Amino acid sequence: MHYVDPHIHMVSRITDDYETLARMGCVAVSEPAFWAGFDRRSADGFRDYFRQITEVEPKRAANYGIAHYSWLCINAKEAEDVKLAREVIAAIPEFLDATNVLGIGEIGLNKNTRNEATVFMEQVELAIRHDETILIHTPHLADKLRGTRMIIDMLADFPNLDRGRVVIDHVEEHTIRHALDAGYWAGMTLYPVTKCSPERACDMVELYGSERLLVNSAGDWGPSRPVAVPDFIVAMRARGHAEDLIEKVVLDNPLALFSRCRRYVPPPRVAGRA
Amino acid sequence: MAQAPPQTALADPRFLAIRSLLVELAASLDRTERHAAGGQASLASDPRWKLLVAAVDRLAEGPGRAEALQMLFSDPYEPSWRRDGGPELAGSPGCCSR
Repeated sequence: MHYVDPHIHMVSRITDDYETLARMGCVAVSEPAFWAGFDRRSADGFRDYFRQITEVEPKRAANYGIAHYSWLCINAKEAEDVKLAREVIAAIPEFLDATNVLGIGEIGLNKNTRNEATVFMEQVELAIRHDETILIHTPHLADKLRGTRMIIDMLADFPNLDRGRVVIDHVEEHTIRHALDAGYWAGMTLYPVTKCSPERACDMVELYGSERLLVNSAGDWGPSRPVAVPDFIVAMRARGHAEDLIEKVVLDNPLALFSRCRRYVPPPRVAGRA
Repeated sequence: MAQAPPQTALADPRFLAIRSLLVELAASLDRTERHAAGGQASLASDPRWKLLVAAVDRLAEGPGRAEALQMLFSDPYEPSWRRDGGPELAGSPGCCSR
């Protein structure tokens, strides 16, 4: 089955992973800007990173027939330095015309601090000013519920924001309803130990339906499985779910979201679908 | 909603998977008690242990277990967080119609 991984950090993965994804049926990946495992010291450090995810990764992916999209931002973990964050936010428009950019992300909260909230709001404003779609990271573990609800509270300050162009990612059983009920897309991240498992993602499809629901691996430099989306496909099949339902979640939904970006060009391998 | 096709209420594969998870959970709790430096008494005062015990108790109560456990392991959300010393937002007033 063809599928899309709408959240994976391919800068942290080896080329063999691209080959594995291609063998599994992956036709496109989208790569949100995130924390590199260390704090960068300047806006130029981010510029180099943005070049990597708008110029280098699309070429690596294309070698395996995979379309590569990206999202730009300063992530919540590095947003504690508000001065640096504002320099990075000022630099982002330099890259917004890159053909593979889908929008602003993954912005959000990490420890639910004042500085994180300030930088989050300023990046939502940036997205609205430039008519960009938004991908939002929600915190881990005990911070997740509070952070998710704070994010939804802050987004309510923007009544003209098109909720259908915003993804609230890393939802779990206690946060999915808040994201969907408010009209946002919801991303389920299949991740070892923290976040969600393939079986629990199947449960949430059964409980909440397939509308505005995404599944991703968030594969990165830590323990993670770049083939987590195929794991979900296998788990759904084992329960006897119909192929078209599975395909809607892993292919049609992410492409429908991506198509809300004004620069969007469909992945060549499924160009006739969306 | 997307319902999975009905099957025997507790088919063997599902029973064995849940049985395995429960035995693994039981062994993990036993192991934690056995390895506790100050014995069971020290564990009993550890708030994380209390959370685990409360979570195990919740399993017997019925449907909604996963969400209930997630809530149990979550910091509380205060709807008044902005008024009560939470982050003051420094975005541009009036920007983007807000």
